Amino acid sequence: MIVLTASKLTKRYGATRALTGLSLCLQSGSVIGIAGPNGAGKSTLMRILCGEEQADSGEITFTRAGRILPELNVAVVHQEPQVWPNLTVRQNLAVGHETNSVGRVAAGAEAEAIMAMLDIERFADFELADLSLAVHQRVEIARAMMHRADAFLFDEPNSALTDEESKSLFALMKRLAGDGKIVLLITHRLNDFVNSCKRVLILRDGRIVADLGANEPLTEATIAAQLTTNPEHDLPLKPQSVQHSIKAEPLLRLIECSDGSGTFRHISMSVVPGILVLAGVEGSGARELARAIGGFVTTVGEIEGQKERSVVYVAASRRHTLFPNLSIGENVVIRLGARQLASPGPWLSSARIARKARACLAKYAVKAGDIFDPVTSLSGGNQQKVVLGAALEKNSDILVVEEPTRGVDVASKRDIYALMRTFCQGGKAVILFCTEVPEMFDVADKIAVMSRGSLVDEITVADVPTVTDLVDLLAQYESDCHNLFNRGAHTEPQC
Amino acid sequence: MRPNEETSTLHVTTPARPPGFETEAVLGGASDAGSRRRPLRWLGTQRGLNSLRLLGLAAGICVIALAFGIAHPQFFGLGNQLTLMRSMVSLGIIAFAQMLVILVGEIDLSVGAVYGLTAVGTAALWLGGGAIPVSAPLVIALAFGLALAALAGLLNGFLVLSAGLPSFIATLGLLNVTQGLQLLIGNAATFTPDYNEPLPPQWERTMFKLLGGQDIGAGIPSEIIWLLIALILFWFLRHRTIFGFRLVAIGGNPEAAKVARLPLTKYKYLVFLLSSLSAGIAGILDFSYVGSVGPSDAGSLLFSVIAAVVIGGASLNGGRGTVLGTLLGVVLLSLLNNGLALLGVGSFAQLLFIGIVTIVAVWIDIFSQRLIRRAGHRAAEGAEGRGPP
Repeated sequence: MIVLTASKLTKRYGATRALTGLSLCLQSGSVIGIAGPNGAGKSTLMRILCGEEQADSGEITFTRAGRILPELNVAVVHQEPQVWPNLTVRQNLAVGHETNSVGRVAAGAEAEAIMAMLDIERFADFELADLSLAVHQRVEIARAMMHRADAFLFDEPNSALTDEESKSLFALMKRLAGDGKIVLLITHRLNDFVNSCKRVLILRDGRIVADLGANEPLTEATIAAQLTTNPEHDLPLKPQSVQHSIKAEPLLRLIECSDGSGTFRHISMSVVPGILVLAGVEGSGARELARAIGGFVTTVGEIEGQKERSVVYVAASRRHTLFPNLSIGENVVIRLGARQLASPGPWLSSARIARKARACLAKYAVKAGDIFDPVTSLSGGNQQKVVLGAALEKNSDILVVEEPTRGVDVASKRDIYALMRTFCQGGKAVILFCTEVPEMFDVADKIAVMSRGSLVDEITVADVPTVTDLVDLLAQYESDCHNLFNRGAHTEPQC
Repeated sequence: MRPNEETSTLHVTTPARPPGFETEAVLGGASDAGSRRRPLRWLGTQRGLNSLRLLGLAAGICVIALAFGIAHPQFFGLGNQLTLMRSMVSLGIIAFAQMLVILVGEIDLSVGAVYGLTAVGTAALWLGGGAIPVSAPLVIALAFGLALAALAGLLNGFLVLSAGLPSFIATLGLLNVTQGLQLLIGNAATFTPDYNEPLPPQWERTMFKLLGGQDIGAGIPSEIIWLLIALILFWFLRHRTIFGFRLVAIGGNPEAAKVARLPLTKYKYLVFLLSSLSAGIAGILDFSYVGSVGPSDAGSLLFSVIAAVVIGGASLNGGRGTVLGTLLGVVLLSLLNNGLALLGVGSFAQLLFIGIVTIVAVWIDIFSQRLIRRAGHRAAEGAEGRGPP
C-alpha cells in the first residue's frame, strides 16, 4: 500500500492565497475524490502533488509499506490535455517512451494495448489537430497510463466524454486503484463522486474542511451540502425595483441559436432587464452561450436586437481581462474612447484620464493606493473590481460576465454583485455565467438551466424558497438529463 | 455495401452527439467505411494537406521550369542544369539545418554571417594576409574555421537557452558580431589560394579543390555530392531518429514537452550548433568551388534560407517542417534565380521578382489549405448526411 501524506501546505500567487495550511493523507486502493468550489485550490493542490510546482511551505511524504520513498512517479490527466496537435495519436503516445532509437518511431506493444483499451486505435495515424477534444482527452489519459505511475491525478477527465466513455473511464480508474495505485479525481459532477469514490475530500479556501465517506456518509446531498454551506456569506437581498422590471420589454431575443461546434444547439430565449444566470456544468453549453451572447464567438441562428443593443463581455480568467503591463488607472479606462479620454481634439489628455480613473476607482469601490500603481499590486478581488469597472463604464445595455467571483474573497464578492445590481436598475441586463449555487440564489432574478447543449428550464428565483431547494432543483435537472440520455441513446434523446 | 450503410445509420440516429465529436464522426465514419469513401479519408486532414502541399510545390516547379525551357533553349541543357544544381548546394545545406531550428520554434538569423566568417577565417589562417599574425596548414585552418562556426552556434544556444533571450534578437545580434569579426579577421581582403603569396603547397591546393571545385566527370563539381550527403543525413535525422521526432514534439507543444520531461535545452543547443556548423561547411564548400573568398554580404543568403524553409511548409510557430519540403523550396528559389539570370533579367529586378514569388507562394499555401480543409469537412459531412436508403 502506498500512502501520500501532505502536511500544512501553503501556496501564494501574488496577493491570492491558494493553499492555506492544507493537510491530507491519501491511501492507495480506492478512488478518492476532491470537491470544492472554483478558486478553492484544487488545481494548485494537483500541481503541487505532481511536482509541477513547489509549495511555499509544508511537506509531502510518500511511504510504501511503511518505508519512505524518495519520490513518487505521478501521472496527471490535465483538464486541458497536454498533447501534441502536430503529431498522430500513435506518435503522441511515443513521445518520451520511444522503443527504438533509429527508424520510424514506434510506440511499442504497450501503447498499442492502451490504444485498444481506450478505443482510439482507429485514429492512430491521424494528427490530433484533426481530432476532437474527446480524443485529445483520451490521448492524455493514455499518456498517463504509459508512465507506469504510482499515483494518478484526474482533473475533470470526462468533461468532453460521453456517458459510455465516462463509464469505461471510471471502470479504468477503479482498476488502477485496485492495482494498488493512488487515484485522485477532481470533477464538478457530484454523481461521478458518488458512483466511483469511496471517499471525497471537500476543499474550501485552501484547506480540507470535510472528509466524506470516512467520517460522514457519502451521497450527492451531503457533498452538495458541504459545497454550499458558507458561514460568511450574507449578501443583501435583491432590491424590489429589479424584480419589478422583469416584466419589461426584452432587450435581446435569441431564436434557434447554435454554435458552430455544437456545444449548444437551438437555443431560443429572451433577455429581459435584470440579472439572468446561465447555469450548467462544464460542457453543458452554458459558458459558451454566455460567450455567444457577449459576441465573443459567432453563432448560427438569429439574435434579435443585437444590432440595436450594445453588449460588453467580460471573460472569466483575469489573464484575459487584465493588462498587467498597465497601471490601475489605465486598466480602468482601457475600454473608453476618445470622447471620454481626449481633449482638445483627438489628443489624449493625461489630466482627463487621471480624473476619470480616480472617479472610477471611487465609484467601483476599488481599494487602491494610487492610479499610477501597477495593477498587479492589487488583490484578486480589487483587480476584478477594476475589470468590472472598466466594463461597466462603457455603459452598455447588456453586460455579459463569466464567473466574476472566481478566486475572489467574500467581501469583494458582495461588492461585485452590488455593482451589477446597481447596473441593472436602469433597465439594463446582466447575463452571468456562474457555477456557485448560493451566489446564483442571492444575485439572480432568473436562472436558465443548461444541460448537454440545450436549455432545460428557466427558474424564477423568487419562487424558490431556500438555497437548498435550488441546489436540489439543479441537481435534479442534471441527473434527469443523465437518465434520459442513457435510456434514449438510440431513440431521440431530448434534454 | 453493408458496413457503409450501418455506419451512416449510426450517425443519423444519434443526433445528440456530445460536443466536440463532429470531427471524430467525420473521421471515424471515413476510417470505418469501405472503399467507397476512401478518397475522403485524407482530404482535409493535416497529413493530407502536407502531401498536397508537396505535390502542389512540385507541380509549380515543373510549370516554372517548363516556362523557362520554352523561353530559353539552353535552360534544359546539361551545362545550365549543372549550374542550377551547383547553386542549390550551400542554400540547401543551410536550409536543412535552419528547418530544424524553425521546427523547434526558434530561428537562426546568423547563418549567412557564419557562412562568411568560416570561409574568411579558414582563408586568413591558411593563406595569411588577414589580421591573424600566423599561418597554418590547411587542415588546421579548416578546423579553425569550423571551430569558429561551432562557437557561434554554442553562443546562439547560450543566449537563447541559458540567458533567455528571444532567438530572433540573439541571433540578429550575433549576425552583426559575426559579420564584424569576419571583416576584422579578413581585413576586408579577398583570398585566392591559387594566386596567393606565398603559394600554399600543391597537395594542399589539390585537396582544397577536391572539397568543392573538383570536376568529378561530365563537368559535375564535387560540391554536388555534399548536397546529396546533406539531404540523406538530414532526412534521416529528421524522419528516422528519436532526435528528429522529439524536435517535432518540442516545437508542437513546448509545455507538453516539458511535462513529458524531454531534454529541451540540450536538444535546442544541438540544433543551434548544427545550424551554425552547416552554415560553416557551406561557406568552406563555396570558397573551394569559387576559388576565392572576400568580404561577403550575409543578407541575401539569409533571406533565401528562411524563404526556402517556409515555402517548404515549415511553420514559424514550430512543430511543422520536412526535409523534402525544404528541398522543394530550395529548388524553387534556385530555379527562379537561375532562369531569370538566363533570360537576362537584371539583378535588381530579380530581387523584386523573388520577393514577390516568396510572398505569393506562402499566400497560396495558406489560402488553399483553408479551402481544402473546408472542402474536406463538407465532403465528409455530405457523405454522413446522405443517410440510409
